[in-house]
Amino acid sequence: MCVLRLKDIPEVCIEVDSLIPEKLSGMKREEIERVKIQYGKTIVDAGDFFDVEGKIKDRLIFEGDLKRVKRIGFKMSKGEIIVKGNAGMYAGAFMEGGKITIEGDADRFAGIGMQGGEIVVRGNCGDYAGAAYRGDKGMSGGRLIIRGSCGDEAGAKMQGGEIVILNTAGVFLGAGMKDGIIKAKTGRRVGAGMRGGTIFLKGIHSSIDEILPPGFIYEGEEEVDGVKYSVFIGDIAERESNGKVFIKHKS
Amino acid sequence: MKIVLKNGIVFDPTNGINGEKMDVFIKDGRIVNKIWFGAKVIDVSNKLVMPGGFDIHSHIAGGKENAGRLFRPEDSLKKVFSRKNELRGGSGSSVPSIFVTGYEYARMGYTTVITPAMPPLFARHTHHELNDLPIVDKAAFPVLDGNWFVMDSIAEGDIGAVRNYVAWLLEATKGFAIKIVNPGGTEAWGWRKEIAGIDEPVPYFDVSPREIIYCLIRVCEELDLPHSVHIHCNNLGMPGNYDTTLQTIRITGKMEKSHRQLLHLTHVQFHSYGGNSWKDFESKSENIAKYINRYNVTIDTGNIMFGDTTTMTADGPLEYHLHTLTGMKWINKDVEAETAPGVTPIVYSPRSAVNAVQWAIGLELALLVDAEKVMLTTDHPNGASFTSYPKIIAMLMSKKYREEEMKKLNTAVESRAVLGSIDREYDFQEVAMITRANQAIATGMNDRGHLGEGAVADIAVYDINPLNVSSSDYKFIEKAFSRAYLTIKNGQVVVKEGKVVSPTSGRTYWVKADYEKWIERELMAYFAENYSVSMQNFVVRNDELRRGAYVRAQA
Repeated sequence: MCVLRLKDIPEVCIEVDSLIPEKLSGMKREEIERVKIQYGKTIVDAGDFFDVEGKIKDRLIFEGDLKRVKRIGFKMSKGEIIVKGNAGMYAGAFMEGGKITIEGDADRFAGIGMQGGEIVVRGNCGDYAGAAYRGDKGMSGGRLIIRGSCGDEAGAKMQGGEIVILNTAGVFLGAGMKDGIIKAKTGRRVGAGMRGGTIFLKGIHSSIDEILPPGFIYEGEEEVDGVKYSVFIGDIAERESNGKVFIKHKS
Repeated sequence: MKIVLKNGIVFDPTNGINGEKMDVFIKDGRIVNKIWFGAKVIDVSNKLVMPGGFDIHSHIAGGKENAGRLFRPEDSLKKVFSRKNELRGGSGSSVPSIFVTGYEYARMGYTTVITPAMPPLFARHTHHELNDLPIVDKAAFPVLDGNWFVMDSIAEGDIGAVRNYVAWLLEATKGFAIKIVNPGGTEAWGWRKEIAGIDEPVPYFDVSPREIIYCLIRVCEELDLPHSVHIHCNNLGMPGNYDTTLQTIRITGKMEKSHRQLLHLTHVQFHSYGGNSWKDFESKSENIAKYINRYNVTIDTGNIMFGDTTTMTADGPLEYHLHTLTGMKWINKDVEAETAPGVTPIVYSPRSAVNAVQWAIGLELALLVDAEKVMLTTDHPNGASFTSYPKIIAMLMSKKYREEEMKKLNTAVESRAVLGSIDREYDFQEVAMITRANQAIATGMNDRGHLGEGAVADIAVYDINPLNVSSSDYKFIEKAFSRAYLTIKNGQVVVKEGKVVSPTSGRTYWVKADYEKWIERELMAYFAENYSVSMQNFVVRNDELRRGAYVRAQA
């Protein structure tokens, strides 16, 4: 177990895509301190910003308020990262495997373009959680679990994998989604431009019009795991419209 | 500055030097016969020495290239080049930013690149971007096919007006040759119509693609421009389009002979398809090759490689078709009164029958057409990035490599393409022809593409002994061509062992042809009527090119 303790909140964001378990494994403390990280437009040593403790195996712990530390676990494929505090933007982006646990909040772009592995965020997420990088195809595998709420466009253009949001989501949850599963309490304009995949909304809703965009058609009722849902198919504005949104019954 | 390259194995097809061990002498940026003293000696014993590479068709700068960069942020994420010493940073794999483009070309030993489709209205943008392109020399071909003035004049039978307009336009846009893209087709598509063959009239203009091609070749010959008409034929990418290509080649059959080719057909791979639909899609490269060998035309291949790339062409309808086929995003960049380029990403998959056959056709063309008529391109970035040239060279040089690659592909490549039955393997002399010498001859840039006395000292040295390598060392060949041991541009070492050491700035070449002054008066009215810019603002001034240089047309 290796602990990287942030000395101070940096003035400009730092990017730590080089500090992932597979790249650090087998390194000594002094070597880890000399790993290069991006600080604004300059490149600096990791030791300038982090106190390194313990020995590296396959678990890495970040401590401190890392809201200005971007790209934690970027393109990670194995091992485990635990963030004891908030994480900055792009936490777990393009992740291929392994596990990241964030005990505070995650900023925007958490888990974008994810291909495998698991991310657990105990707090809230910013916008674009589990979404696609701008212009790219979306998340294709893995699990993103958000215990709090999340911002806009979570799971946009998703192609596979699973996103679970225990609280509410922002606008355009699962926009342009092709495949995969999203579970949330509620959201607004859910599944706009959806072509496939499934979205479950488990919260209590007063009016469907507030949740769904206009291109969804009521399909019937279905019971999944003992819960009754109303099923909507859409988005008929698209060429293919096989997306399914399950909305929990009022009763 | 004087340099002697000592004991290299030289390949220079233009001067008939085929793998001779000799010294190359460079003085003041030119190649000379002998230097007696005071020269810096660089030992290149047993290394391959060739003239600097020349890419005749590569979309590297201009309106649609920039549009491609803007709408593919995910492409920029894939490859990031950080700033190093004197080198600028950049990003992008299929649509790299302009500085990176120059460095990457130089690293492969290329020293001249032509961006082949510049809409005249975007000439200023293109040249300002080319000004920033480091190291390599460059030129741009203005697009003339969907041009309203050209079509109107041809419909009225006024060849004189077209001739004067072309000469004026080359000077106004600082262009090098006439480029035509899907003649008539783009304009027709703008009116929601399609042209199937080259004899169908363009709506509202009363001309057919055949007339546009014929007239522009005639104009090109009358002006005696250094490069012939550079054509992207109609029906690109459609199954069964080989017939259109053959008809286009046949147009040159009845014309007077020229001192160079009458027509250069570009990315012919995309124009050599048989079959009636995507289901019975097949290679027709043998038919095409037969015609090319017989007629006075040259081609470049337009190979595809598997992977993710961006397609961009002044052929708007094609991009729209591709978008409906793949469902991927696309954009159209309409240029008033001139053309309408489009851009869309594409993924060439080895599992797809169509893509596998396309891959084979590119190689077949290079292997079936006479080596002095064919040039290597990937139509960057349409078929693949230009950085895949080394791999294609290695495949042309090794049948074993081709067979190994074919095993990974859809089996259609065996039944619907002829690649498997071709035993030919390129030697280094032929590689030098298709990557540098032919291009220089075809564009009339006689000061390059060879190592004779007086030629510009653009030289590439690769870390491979050509006398001691067999076709089974294809991996080694590929590696050697992907990073030049030395690249010398204008007598200056710019790349050392695959690293750019001196980011110089190359020249922009354009062609000056004489025109009669009355055309300007006529165009003034034409611009007032059809353009949102005035004619004065349209013209790119000489001083806008950082290092401009013009070539005079003969006539």
